[in-house]
Amino acid sequence: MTGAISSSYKRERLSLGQQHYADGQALERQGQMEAALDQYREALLFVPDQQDYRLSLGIALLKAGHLDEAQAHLQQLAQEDPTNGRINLALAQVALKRKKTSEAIESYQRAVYEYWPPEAVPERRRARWELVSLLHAAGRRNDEVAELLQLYSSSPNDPAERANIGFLLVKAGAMSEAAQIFRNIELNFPQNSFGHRGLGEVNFANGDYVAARHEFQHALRVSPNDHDAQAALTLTNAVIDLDPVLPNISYQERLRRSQRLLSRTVNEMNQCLLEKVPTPVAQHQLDSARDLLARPHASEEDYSLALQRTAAQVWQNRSSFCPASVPPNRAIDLAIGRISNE
Amino acid sequence: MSSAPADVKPNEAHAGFRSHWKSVQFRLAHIGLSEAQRFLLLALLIGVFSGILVVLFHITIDLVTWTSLGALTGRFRFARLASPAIGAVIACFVVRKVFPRAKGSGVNQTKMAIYTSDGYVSSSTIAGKFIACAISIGSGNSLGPEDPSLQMGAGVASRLGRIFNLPRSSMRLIAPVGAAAGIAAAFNTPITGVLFVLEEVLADWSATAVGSIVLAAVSAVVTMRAFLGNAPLFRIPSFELANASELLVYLLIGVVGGALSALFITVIELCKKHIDKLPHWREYALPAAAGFLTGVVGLWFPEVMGAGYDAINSALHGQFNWDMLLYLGLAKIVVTVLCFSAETPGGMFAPALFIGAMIGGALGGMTHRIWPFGAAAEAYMLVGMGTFFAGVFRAPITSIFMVFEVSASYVIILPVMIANTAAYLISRRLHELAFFKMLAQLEGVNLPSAEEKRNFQPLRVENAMKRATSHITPEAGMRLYPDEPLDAALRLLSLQESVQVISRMRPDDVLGTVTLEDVHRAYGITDCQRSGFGAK
Repeated sequence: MTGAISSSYKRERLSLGQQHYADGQALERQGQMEAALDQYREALLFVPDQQDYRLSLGIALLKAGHLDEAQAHLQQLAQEDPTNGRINLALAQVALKRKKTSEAIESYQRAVYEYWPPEAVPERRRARWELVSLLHAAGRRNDEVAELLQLYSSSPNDPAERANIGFLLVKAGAMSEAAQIFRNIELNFPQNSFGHRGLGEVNFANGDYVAARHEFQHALRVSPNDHDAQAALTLTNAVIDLDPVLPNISYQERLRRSQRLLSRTVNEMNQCLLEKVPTPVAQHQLDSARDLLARPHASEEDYSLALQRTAAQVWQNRSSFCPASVPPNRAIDLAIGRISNE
Repeated sequence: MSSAPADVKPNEAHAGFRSHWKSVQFRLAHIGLSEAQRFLLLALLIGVFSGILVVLFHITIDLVTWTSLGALTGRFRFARLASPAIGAVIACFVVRKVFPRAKGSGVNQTKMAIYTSDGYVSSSTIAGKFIACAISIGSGNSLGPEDPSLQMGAGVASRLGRIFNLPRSSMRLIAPVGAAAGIAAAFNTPITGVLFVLEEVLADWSATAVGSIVLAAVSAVVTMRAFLGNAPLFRIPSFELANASELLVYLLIGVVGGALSALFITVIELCKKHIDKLPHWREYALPAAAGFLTGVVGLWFPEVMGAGYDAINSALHGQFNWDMLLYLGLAKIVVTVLCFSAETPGGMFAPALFIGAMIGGALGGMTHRIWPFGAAAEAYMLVGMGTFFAGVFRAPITSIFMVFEVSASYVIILPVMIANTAAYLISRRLHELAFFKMLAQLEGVNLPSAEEKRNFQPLRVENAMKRATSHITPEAGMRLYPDEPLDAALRLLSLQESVQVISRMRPDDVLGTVTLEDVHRAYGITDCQRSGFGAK
């Protein structure tokens, strides 16, 4: 008799729990988060063993910004089922909201490497994408590259997503891996500009501007409306025009480029002077640069080098002199970078 | 039980049942088992039946709650005001008019049964306790189901003891076995059940029935889990202690918990003293008023209604901020004092745990604002729970193990030991009597308590013996050790004039001798008194 009574009691609890849970889901869909939370909590009081209820409550609490309570529920779930990917993902999101980056990364890593039901593959991929962006923000390049390669290995046959992985690999400095991905895109999707644009980005990042220009041009031939490729080509051309250490150019051309680079650098500094009075050191440097540009040049052999050196010094001071509101010219920056590398 | 055939008259059917029942009793009493075996078998049965009873009790409370506070309150918000008041009046009517033996929280009544009526608890007490407490707790009065479960367990044990025709000496031992089973099933914590009965009900750690108490507690919990599942009383997320300096916060919780528990006992004592002077109308009017006020408080803080375990679970999962925890703790103190003082049927364990948890959580939350590196709030709540329990019931060992058992976390032990000890000592300092002792004294009953025993320093042989100034040759005959109780000396001195006291390390080394006169002196009995005794 007790068995029958307790079974019927448990059934009643279950049914009441289900009712509250369904009400909670409906309210959550309507955006009434606080009311939904109350229903989820009620559901859990009737069926405290139901993991789905607790997880829904935890995630809803996270969305509503009740981080302490969300963490308590999710931690309990993680304690009961530590290999559940969804639970670890929610815990990671709580840690992220609390700005506990390393804790969030750990939870994300547990989330992406632990169990997910077969129907939750897209959710797992989303979790991995979140992890990648967190790793990028935290400056953990090696971990980021590893996760991107994992994403690539399980990526769907979608050139956009694959290209996105490749571009992120370029940002993370994994050039050879990125180049391989873009070559594959180029091979498998020849009518798509992503492969060439990506290879252009790789070459650009490697400092091979000429090869980059070639790839960008190719990308634009495949897809003339590719605005990113167009912007990249413009920048590449600008760098090539300024680059005084470009191989296979004549002495006169090198000198002309060096003069142009210093002149552009001084102009950039002058723009900053509109907003800020220069320090004596900066003023002296600018005066020296102007003198150098005005000097007769054909007779001096190392004049070109002096121009480049001065341009580099002026540019170096720029960052401390110019306010953050005046962004540096990227082409000049890259050209100066080339001089420094040489 | 088979029903009587249709052609048999009701009286004949009743007589047939009685004779059948007698034969079952006879067979049970003579199944060829030794006394000890029968006792253990009985302990097992007591555990099972107590477990079943607690399961049904639990279900009935929930059914009453769902009806009164769930369905009704869902339709009419103000049903919350009326529900506890109506429940209290019905429960009081049940206790006063139908089952008058079911009065009180249950702990003192069980102790009284053990010490004054050889463990006899009537079956009507079980029924009365079950019905009255299910109605009062289920309708939202701020009381708990554990103390009634303890008494119902003792009642089950007493009933089974009578069926087994246990001798009088065993009947006294069997009631605590049932009490342990009842409380263990109610808390879903076997260790706590055993310890509470040994510490508070029996007040005797050397009880001969310890084995049976453990067996009954375990079988009750197993039975309860078989019907209601393995869910623990509290679901506590994992936590860890941040660093050693945190112990200061736990000490603070212990100090505050101790002071608050002493205040709690004092307020209930004062209320009960005043209420006892009120005329007869108070028997229904006060529970109704207390229930109504509980409903009023419940409009703002519905968590304080009933036993409050759901609210503790919610609090343990971070649902409330520290200020809300503080309000809940204080509100619960008020409504519990009202309900208990008004003699609404129900127990005190659950409210004590609620108050302790909320106050502990509030203090932890407050210190977190000043010093944000402490442990998680649930740790403070658990410790708070233990401190209030230790302070009110003066059962420090039970309180430590209870927190350990409900949290299943070893890391909590050290803070709980520190905080509970502080709470126990402070509460004892501020209010001499433990909660149940105070209640017993108000009723004019003197029951033994573990605390009294802890304070009692028994005289030993070494306190009476005359130390040897020179070497004494050991004599044949009976001897004593210096650490033996003085009573042992008295027993031997009735057989011989003086007894030698020897060292436990070196049996040939006689430390001194003790005579009847020495014993009298140690007890502080003067010659005049001695001659008076002799005359009597």
